[in-house]
Amino acid sequence: MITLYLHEQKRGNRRPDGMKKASGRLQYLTDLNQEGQLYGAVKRAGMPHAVLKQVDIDEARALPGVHAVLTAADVPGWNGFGIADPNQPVFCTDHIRYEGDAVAAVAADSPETAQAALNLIRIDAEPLAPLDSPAEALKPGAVHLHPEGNVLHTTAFHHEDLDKAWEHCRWIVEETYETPRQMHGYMETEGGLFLPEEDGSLTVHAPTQHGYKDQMQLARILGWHEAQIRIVSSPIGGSFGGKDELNVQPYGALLALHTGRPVKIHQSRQESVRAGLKRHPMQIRMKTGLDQHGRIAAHEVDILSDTGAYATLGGPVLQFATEHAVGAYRMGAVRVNGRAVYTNNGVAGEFRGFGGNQVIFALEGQLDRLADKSGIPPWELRKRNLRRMYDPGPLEQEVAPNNGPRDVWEAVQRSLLWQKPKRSRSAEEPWLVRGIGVSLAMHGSGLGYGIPDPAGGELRLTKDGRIEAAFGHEEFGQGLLASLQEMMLDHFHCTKDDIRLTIGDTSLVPPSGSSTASRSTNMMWQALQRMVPGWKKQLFTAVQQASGVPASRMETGPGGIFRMEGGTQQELLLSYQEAAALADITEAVSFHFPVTPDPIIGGHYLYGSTAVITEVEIDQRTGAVQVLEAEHVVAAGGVVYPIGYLGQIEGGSVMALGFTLMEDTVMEGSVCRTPNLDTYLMPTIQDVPGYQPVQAVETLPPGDDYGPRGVGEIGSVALAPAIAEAVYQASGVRVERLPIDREVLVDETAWMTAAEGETIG
Amino acid sequence: MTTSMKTTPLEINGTTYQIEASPSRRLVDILRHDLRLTGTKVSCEVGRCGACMVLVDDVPHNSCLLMMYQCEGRRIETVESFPEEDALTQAFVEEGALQCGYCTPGMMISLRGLLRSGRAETKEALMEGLSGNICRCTGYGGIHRVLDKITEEGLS
Amino acid sequence: MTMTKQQVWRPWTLQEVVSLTGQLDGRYCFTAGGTWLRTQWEAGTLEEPEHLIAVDRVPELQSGAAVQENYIEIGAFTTLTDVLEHPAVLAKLPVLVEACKQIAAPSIRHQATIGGNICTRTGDAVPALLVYDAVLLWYGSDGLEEESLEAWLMRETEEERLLTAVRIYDAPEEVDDVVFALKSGRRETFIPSQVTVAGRLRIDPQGNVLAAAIACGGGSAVPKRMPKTESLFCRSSTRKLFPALMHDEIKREYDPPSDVFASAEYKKRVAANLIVGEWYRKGRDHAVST
Repeated sequence: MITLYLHEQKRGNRRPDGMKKASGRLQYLTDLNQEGQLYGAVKRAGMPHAVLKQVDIDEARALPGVHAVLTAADVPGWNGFGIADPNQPVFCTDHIRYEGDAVAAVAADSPETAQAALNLIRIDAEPLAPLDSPAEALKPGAVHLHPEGNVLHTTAFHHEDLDKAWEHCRWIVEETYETPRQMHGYMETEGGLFLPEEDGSLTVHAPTQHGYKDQMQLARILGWHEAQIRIVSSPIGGSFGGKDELNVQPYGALLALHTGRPVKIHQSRQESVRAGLKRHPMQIRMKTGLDQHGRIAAHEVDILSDTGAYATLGGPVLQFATEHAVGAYRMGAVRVNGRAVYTNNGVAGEFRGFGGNQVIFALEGQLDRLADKSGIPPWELRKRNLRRMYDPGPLEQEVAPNNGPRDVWEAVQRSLLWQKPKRSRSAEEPWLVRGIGVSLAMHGSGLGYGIPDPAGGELRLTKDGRIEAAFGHEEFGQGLLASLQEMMLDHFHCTKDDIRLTIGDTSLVPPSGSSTASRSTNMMWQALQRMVPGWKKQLFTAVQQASGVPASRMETGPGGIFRMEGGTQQELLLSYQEAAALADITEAVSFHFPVTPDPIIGGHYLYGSTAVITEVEIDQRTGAVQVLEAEHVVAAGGVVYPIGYLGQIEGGSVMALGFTLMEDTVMEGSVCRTPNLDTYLMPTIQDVPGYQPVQAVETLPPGDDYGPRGVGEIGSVALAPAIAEAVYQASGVRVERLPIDREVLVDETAWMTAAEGETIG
Repeated sequence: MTTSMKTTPLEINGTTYQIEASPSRRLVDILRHDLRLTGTKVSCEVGRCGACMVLVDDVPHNSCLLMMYQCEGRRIETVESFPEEDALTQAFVEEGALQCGYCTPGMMISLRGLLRSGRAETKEALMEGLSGNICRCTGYGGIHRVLDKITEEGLS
Repeated sequence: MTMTKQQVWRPWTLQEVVSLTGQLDGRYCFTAGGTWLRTQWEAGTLEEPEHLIAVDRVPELQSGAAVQENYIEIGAFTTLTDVLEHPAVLAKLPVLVEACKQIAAPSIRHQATIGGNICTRTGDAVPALLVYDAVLLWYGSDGLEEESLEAWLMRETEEERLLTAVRIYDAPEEVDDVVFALKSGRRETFIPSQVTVAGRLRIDPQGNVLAAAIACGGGSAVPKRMPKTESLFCRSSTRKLFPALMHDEIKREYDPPSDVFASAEYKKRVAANLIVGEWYRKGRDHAVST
């Protein structure tokens, strides 16, 4: 186990994109401009639910400086997008299902003219009562948002006889938890540059988490072959899942092709908030029972997920939530039922944690309540129920042997923070109370059984003498390039200058699947494991023919290929550039993310584990909660790039802090009331603990050769329940709803009574 | 007294540009759109995120909130006017104070303004100075480490 | 993307301002720092006017903070940063200092003006100014007029005059015994206020309150002085705090509206807690020192 971030510790090399970012020299895709470009803009419905009768674009089209105004009639291919089910129309035809629905798009000489043209587009629509909650949408007689009705997806997992199991329960807790419509809040809003090429093809420069998926979706919309579209998709100014789905790409592509001119689009924050994805708000009812030994004998879960107007990945998110409602615990009998319901509340979709965050808050909340009720200390209660190394997974599926939950449990036992008194009140300011809470979670990597989860990569020796690694992955800040650089240096013992890292451009990289689900680091690691021996063999064979030195006596090193003797490096045989002249040295691989052999939809095979200890301070005058400390233990295999690993946990943690304490996209009648960052509040530097110790458990079970698991999500999944428990310890108030309502924590009686004991007579 | 479109001289990064625009045009649009100085980012457009921060007469301002007429006769500096590699940019990279990097130019400008003002002596003053810069990626961990470096080692 | 096609007028004198407002007949808006206007324009909650009258060149608005014989005057165009750095303000108006420190973030305070903050009617400087009985100086077709801030806030008429300065008469010779300006919102800093309170108390050595000025505001609530609470304070002593009594009185008197983020009841309780908390601090100090 290592503690990340110690000054003296190896920190890894500088991230390859670091200095350009620090100095503002890096051009993002929304910074690009092209001579002669037009400015694209999208007309959004601006009403949450209506029958669309007509879109009148004549006036807009007549405005000088306007080059195109497009509607549904101008979509040559499939008028829809969506990774799992393309049921979100590019342009609405007859039914407006949320405020951000697109009805038309404009290309004009200037952004101002484009905006003016949007204002001239008349939407003739008959408003319908908004279905502003799953409950409304499920009512008999509710308008159907889609042909199949208002239920996007249901899940059901049953294990053993739940009805009987209650009989063995000595303590039962039932509670309903609610989680907010969190916004991704990436700082770079959606946009890009769309270029019609002379050969009739199209180049798209727009951020996405999966370039090849965008290519497929755009081809479907345009009625083209995928090969006619090139997607340049990195660098990206943040995503967190939010740019995984298409956003402005269909409009940019259609406008560029229609006008034959480059088209630039960059959404305003307000448009981004109204049109973009959010985290699924979930209402989770859990009834959980302990037997007399403190074992979870029965666990019943109902998940109601507000998936908004369209499908995107609402189904898989629910699937993930279903699995993680059981999580790292072994239980007697289980019944989990989930429903993802269409509403008019924007669109909910993929977001860091992928449905795990919501149910982990509920599940850990259950354990804390049961601990209270049974008198078994909360951490002890968890231990009694944690999975063991060779146990099956949450859905009873076969999983890779996994001791992560027990490893992080042990580490918490050694924490000094955990040894502190669980509650205290300030003597000077009696309204300040402190509490400590802890929680634990296991989180799946990869997309799970039943979802295509391909991976692949390519290694090449370039003519100018670089070892090039090409992957269809994306850099949205997580440090993918830095991790890849570290792995390449480990494999080739060369210098950074000997390496070329190529990502984010479908014309240069092979398909590698998506950069989601904490999978990229793992996929690159596995791809290199598979490719490097074969690639080196090719290289050494070529060098053997040129130099006469046997291939078995060679190794790569700084600047080229060296002769080796007894494991030590001798003279340079050939530079990489010289070797590149000898032959085409290329190795490619494609494979599938490791998956459980059991055909249980959504079941994972690999997991990371985490535990979080936190100390909070509540101001009982206002109900404000300040997170003073957050200590993380993460078990996810080896650390590839320490400062990047640390950053993922710190960043995920603060995102969870926002989820717990302040963030919510407030909808009233399906109209967004928090359309910008003056009302949608995210944590500032004053809201966070300055130093969050992160311990990485690097040990994997014997024989585990799957390599380092990604840590992109796991830092964000377990803080909320730890804060909720700390709040309870401090104040005696249990919270079931996030973000925590300050109103329930205001307590004048408590602080005045405490004060009275001292001075107020 | 003046009206409508006019040519206004603006001093940006030591160069005086003659900008023909409405006097109420936002500085951020002049920078990013008219001059293609895209190091200055745009994100919320209401002064709540700090991505578009520039120095005006050495003092951090949100360029989305400034109108052209307000900039006349003042000295504007954007991230492009600072070196690519100095102690501050190095500290940012080494401490993990950036991930996606989109908030970073604004963060840098706020810090550089603070350092120049001579009021960057305590961690609290530095945090206060960055309270208008939102970072969504790092959780501010790396940024805290940079601030510690500044206050402990006098990095400037 | 904002439309930026307004005509911008930059008059040099108050007379020019008046003749412009006559000419433009309601199709204008005054602008100083412009930070609040831009926020509303972007949100679409305020239409961009055809004409902007920028007041940055009018000398009367630019006086900064100046100490006169019996008052401190702060020009309306003084930025919040300049308010915070002025020696006279720092020395004499600690409640205003505390309040201004909590407005927005430094970069906004470099641009936003005290006049603009007042003209929003709900700005966080307003409760602080109320407890100093601030007076506003207006310039309109009838020339220069003085009006107390409190009286102006109570009127709901559309303001056509130009705010030139705010004056505080009889600024306390020495700092009050209790001064506070506290703001509560949905995070630690750079927040739209839900509750803002400000107060000053003069207390004699025996702990008897001699004078009290308390104001509450926050969110969309136009800040108000709290005469009943003040009167209760004036009958109180730090020797015996009666916090619950005080708390009840504040909740009875303060009457904020609910909004999507917080209920009226919550705002009342927070206002009461913040004020009583400061009272408790003083009582505790008193107990410790005697």
